[in-house]
Amino acid sequence: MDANPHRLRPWVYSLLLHGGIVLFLVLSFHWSSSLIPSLGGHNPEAEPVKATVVDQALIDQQMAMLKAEQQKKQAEKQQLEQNISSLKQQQASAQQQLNQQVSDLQKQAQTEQDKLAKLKAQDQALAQKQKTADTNARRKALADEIASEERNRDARMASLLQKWEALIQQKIINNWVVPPSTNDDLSCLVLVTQVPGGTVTNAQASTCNGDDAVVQSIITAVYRASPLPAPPDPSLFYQGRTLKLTFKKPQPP
Amino acid sequence: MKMLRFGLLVLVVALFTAGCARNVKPVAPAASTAPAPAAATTQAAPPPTAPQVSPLDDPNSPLANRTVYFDFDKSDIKPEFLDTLTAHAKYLVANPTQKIRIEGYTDERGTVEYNIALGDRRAQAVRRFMLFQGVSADQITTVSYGESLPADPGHDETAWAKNRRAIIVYIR
Amino acid sequence: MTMLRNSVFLTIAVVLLLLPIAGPHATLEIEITSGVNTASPIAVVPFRYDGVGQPTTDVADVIGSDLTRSGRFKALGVKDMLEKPTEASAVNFNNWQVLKINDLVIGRVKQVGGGYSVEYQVFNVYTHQQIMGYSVATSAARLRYTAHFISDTIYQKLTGQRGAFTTRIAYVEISGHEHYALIVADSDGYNAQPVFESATQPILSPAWSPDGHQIAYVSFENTMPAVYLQDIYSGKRELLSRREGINGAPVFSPDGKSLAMTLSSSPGNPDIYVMDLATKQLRRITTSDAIDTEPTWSPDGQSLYFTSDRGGTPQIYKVSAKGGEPQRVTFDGSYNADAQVSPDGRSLAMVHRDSGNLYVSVMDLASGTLTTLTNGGLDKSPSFAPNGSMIIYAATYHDQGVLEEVSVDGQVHERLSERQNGVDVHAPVWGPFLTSGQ
Repeated sequence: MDANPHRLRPWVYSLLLHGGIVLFLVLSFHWSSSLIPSLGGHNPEAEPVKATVVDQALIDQQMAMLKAEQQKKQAEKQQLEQNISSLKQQQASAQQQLNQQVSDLQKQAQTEQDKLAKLKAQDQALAQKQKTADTNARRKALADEIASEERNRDARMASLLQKWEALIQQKIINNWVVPPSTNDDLSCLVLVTQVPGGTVTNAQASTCNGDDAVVQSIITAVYRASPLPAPPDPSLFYQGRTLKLTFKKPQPP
Repeated sequence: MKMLRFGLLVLVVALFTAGCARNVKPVAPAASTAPAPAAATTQAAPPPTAPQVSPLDDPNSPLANRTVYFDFDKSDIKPEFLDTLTAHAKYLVANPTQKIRIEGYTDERGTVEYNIALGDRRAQAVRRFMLFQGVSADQITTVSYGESLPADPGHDETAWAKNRRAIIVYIR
Repeated sequence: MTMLRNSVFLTIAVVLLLLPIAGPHATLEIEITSGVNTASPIAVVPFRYDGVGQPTTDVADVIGSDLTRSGRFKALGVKDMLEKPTEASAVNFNNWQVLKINDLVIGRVKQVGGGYSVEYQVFNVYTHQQIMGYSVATSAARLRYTAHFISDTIYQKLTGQRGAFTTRIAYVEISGHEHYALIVADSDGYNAQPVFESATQPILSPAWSPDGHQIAYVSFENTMPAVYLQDIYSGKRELLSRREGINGAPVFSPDGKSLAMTLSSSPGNPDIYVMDLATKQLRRITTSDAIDTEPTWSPDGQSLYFTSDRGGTPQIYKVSAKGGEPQRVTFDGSYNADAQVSPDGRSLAMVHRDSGNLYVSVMDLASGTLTTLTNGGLDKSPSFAPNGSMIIYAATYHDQGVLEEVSVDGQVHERLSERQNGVDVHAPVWGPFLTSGQ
């Protein structure tokens, strides 16, 4: 039992190390996607404002109108007060009436102010929503673009790889003189190694059920085809450093 | 008057002998020796009897035609040869000991052994005709050479037409 | 310390293990299901001669011509060779790779006593490996035969198929349109020897026995066609049939015991018969009133193909060798005749006539497809080489009857040596494989 903690320790170290590596990998993956928004240089704030300018003008207009109205009412009020002061003695009820009117107006102004405040609040809320939606849309669009670009690139590479295979296949076909003794069930596997530039450095038949003449013809065909065609994209070369060629008996057209 | 009569007689005799002289064909060189003087002095030789010519050797006889020609790939007797074949048949009926061999041939535009068979068909067509005319079967043998022994070794229509034939060979 | 090291190794190992799964493949897998039918380029370097005077045969030239004539190889001309090595140590393979030559043959002819010793080596130009090397002892008289023998061995090694260069052919030669001779020669036309002659009467339809010792043929020597059998070594002749009418188209069964032929069953009615060569008994095979002729045996000896115009015009039919109801085999065009079965039994060579022109054609028995191989217009009498790779036939060239050989794929054509004016050659037949020494 004494040895146990000592025996466990390496395992702990190991686990930690592995965990750390995995974590590193996981984290690094996420990092790559969060780097996306640094594209462009637009100020996201600018756009939503554009949308509300019109509204703002309207509200300003409304506000101005209300303010104007308000001022008007103020002026009237003043006028009335003057009249009141001159007619104070005369008409106390009139003053009361006027007071009533003022308080009504004040109430109106208040409701309109409330309205304005409400609109302002709405406007702000709208602005906020727009800003978030826009950013999210941007982010999503960019993520989609990157994913599609990656898919295109993969597809392009895959089709280029296919094209390379076809080029190699055709050159070998053009150089394979098929002997008459080729058996109907021929299946001959040849492992080929090439170096950049296409020169074949090794060609060996592994499993092959053809006779001597067939094997000879196949090995000859591979060497005659050297140097093999270069891949359409040089970065593909390492994918075809070795080739596994399977020769089958050609069927009559 | 007598002078005139005598002259006429001489004239007539001279005319006759002149005619006779024309009928005589030069025969063997031995007959003409010294240069013959005028017909009046030399006796004109009597017209020789015609030699006995067998119809088989007579170039003017219809039996002189021994070849019957055929159309491409065909073995039926063409109408233009019926008279000739009839003549041969008649002769054979009249001479039952006379034997013939009918040889059938073709042009080269076919395979060798099929052409043997086609030539045989042509020979048989002639043979059947003969038998129908009453010729006895034991007077006729047939053989087919097919495209062998062509009459014309050329390789065109003219040559080929000459090779599509059946020949009657009298066996002596 | 060790534990830490162990864990590090373990990690590295795991990471390394994971990498191939995570990363891309480094091997491409490609299937090759087609090739080309062209002749394989080969070079046969003139053999060195170690001896007095000159050898009786240019061995390398015979080998090169043989291989090229088969259609499967194309021998490089001597003037195009960049070097002419006669020993393996002198070979520079680059000089042959640059010419795109696949295989290289070098050799030496050494005079030994009254004969020769011929050594030869064959190399694959790309792998530089020697594929084969032999030494053959022979006599001066047999040097050409030995060259053909070497061609056979090279052909077999490189194609997997038996060579037919030591085989012989027979044919009929006609001089002045009436002098006939039955000739036996090497498969390339050399060493021609007459085995039977006739001053005026035709010789037709020669046929080889399976052992190559005898030839059956038709002779008109008595102004009647008759079938004769002749031993070409002893010259002994035997009359087999001289019935009334046609006696023709003799052909040996694959086991050599029977002879099929055409006989007139009645005047004007040729039919196929089979004769037992031991008893001379005849068995009638066809019974129609039409022309039935030109029989040929299937390689298993069970069936006969023949020409019949029972359908109106000549076509090929097949019937059991025991007799029975024939089945029509050809349906292309209105004239197909003189069928020959290939040694592997899979195809029929025949003469196909189109608008009056004759062509040698080959029909695949499985699919029924007919392929024309020649274009002379007067091509006939096709005969397969015993390895099925070539067909010899009679053609007309410049108004003369000549022999030509064509590879079964129609790619290579060769006219055998022409003769002087006035000599025509007909009816070629290719002899069988011979056991050595014949």
